[in-house]
Amino acid sequence: MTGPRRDPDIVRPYVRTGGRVRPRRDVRLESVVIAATGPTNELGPDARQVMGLFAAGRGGLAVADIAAALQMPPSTVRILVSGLMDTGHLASPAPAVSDRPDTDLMQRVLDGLRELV
Amino acid sequence: MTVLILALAVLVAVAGATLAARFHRRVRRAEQLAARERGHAAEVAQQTRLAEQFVGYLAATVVPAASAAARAGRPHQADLAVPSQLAGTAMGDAVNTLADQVTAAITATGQWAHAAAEERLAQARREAEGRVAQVRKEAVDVARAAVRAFASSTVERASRLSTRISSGVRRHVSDEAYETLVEIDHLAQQMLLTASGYAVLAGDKLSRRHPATSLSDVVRAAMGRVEGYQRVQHADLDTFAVESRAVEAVVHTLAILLDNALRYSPPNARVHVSVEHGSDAVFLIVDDAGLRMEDERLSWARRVMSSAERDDITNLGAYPQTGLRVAAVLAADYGYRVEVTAPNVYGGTRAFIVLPRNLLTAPPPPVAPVAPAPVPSAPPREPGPAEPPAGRATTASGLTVRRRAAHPAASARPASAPPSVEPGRPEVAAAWLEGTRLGRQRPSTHPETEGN
Repeated sequence: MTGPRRDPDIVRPYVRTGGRVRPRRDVRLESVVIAATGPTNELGPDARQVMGLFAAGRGGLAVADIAAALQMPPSTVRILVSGLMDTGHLASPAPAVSDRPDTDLMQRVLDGLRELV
Repeated sequence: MTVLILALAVLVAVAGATLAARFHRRVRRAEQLAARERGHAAEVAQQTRLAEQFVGYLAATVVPAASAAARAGRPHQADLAVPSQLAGTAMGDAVNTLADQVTAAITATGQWAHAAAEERLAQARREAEGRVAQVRKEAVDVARAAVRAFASSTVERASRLSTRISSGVRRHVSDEAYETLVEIDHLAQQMLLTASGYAVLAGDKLSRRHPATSLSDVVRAAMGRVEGYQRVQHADLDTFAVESRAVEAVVHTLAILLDNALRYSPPNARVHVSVEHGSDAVFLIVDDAGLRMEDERLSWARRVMSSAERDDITNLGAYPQTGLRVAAVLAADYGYRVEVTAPNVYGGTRAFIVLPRNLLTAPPPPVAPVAPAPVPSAPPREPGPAEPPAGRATTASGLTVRRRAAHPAASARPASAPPSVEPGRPEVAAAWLEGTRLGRQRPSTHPETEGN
């Protein structure tokens, strides 16, 4: 025994989500979420763990990354994240309109690439 | 001369008379003696007859009766009254002595025969009891072996099923697959609880092993094994962790207590799990708001708890109530206590597990600081030549497992701080989001990221 460690499967996924089996929002594996404000001390253990990943100022995290860090099934994390978005603890980053790539430029790059092949 | 002659004649006459008288007396005495002798002879004859009769009675009646009683193993009391006519005579004394001897012999024989008969009876009883015990032991052994074989094969298959479900839940991200898998998982966990309960009653050990686990994970693990776990409410319990060796037993026991609480309370009532810290133990308390347990059932529960009846597999009754018996056996094996009291503050029943300090340890760190464990079922899809082979792990969906960077303490800030103070990141995240949104508008070129 090398000291305490976690067994990710001792708590079953349906218990982690309180019996919810689908996310209420369109949360995908590749969805990136950012931490919003709000007290976390009333959250359940798993939600607190998810929020704990944001505590060190990481900015945005993909759902898949959260699942990997917590060794939880991705679908479970999708439901947890959806719940945390409902309570306002997590938020979807607003797309910055000015950063949107120029379609013409992309089209020209694509054409150029096709000419190379 | 004449005088002389006369004197002589008188003298002769007197002497003659004297002699005659003496002779007569002697004759009378002889006659008396003869008469007495005759009487004595008759008396002796009479005594002899009585003695003969008595001896005949001994031989014909008393001794056969005594011997029959001895053969049958009965105690025998002989009636040996010596005839009164013999009292005080030598013959009487002799007959008395004979009677005493015969009585003593009969008594001794009777006692011996009785003791022998008792011994035979006790021997027979011991043999019968031994045979009954043997047959019962064989029956119990057979029943236990059957239950054990059935339970352990069910446990083994359900464990494998549960492992397969766990990897399936990680692999398949579609909502439909997930929903079906967790439903099956919930049923498999309940099946495991029942089957491992029977395995424990049949003398097996619990097969699942876990690392040291926080009380809150122990409670949630137990919740996963019962119907209606959504009604269980628990406070923050992360103050302690249960030692590795006792985790499965405590989870199993708690699941039994939760199951009882949920079963015996109204379908909308909550079941509360809380923890109290004693001086040398921690109490894991389950309160339900159901009907207070009846006194009879409560005392039955306490009796079961106080004595772990292991030889019980054939004695479970027509409607086996295995839960508390299993809890009692596990508690005895792993060194904790289970108690039940009623009523509690909700008017229902309170059950609690008393965990001594030697089964507790410090809780594991709240978040895994690194996630280095590669998932064996999904090796990296395209290991680049520059990558260290073991340095990059991927999730089941093929995404790289990130290591959490070590942040200096100065950069740590509360979670409530707005993320915009980290310049660049939210914009990158937004770009990523936008990129994936655009990407999703085309058909996926990596179907293996979706499990269905």
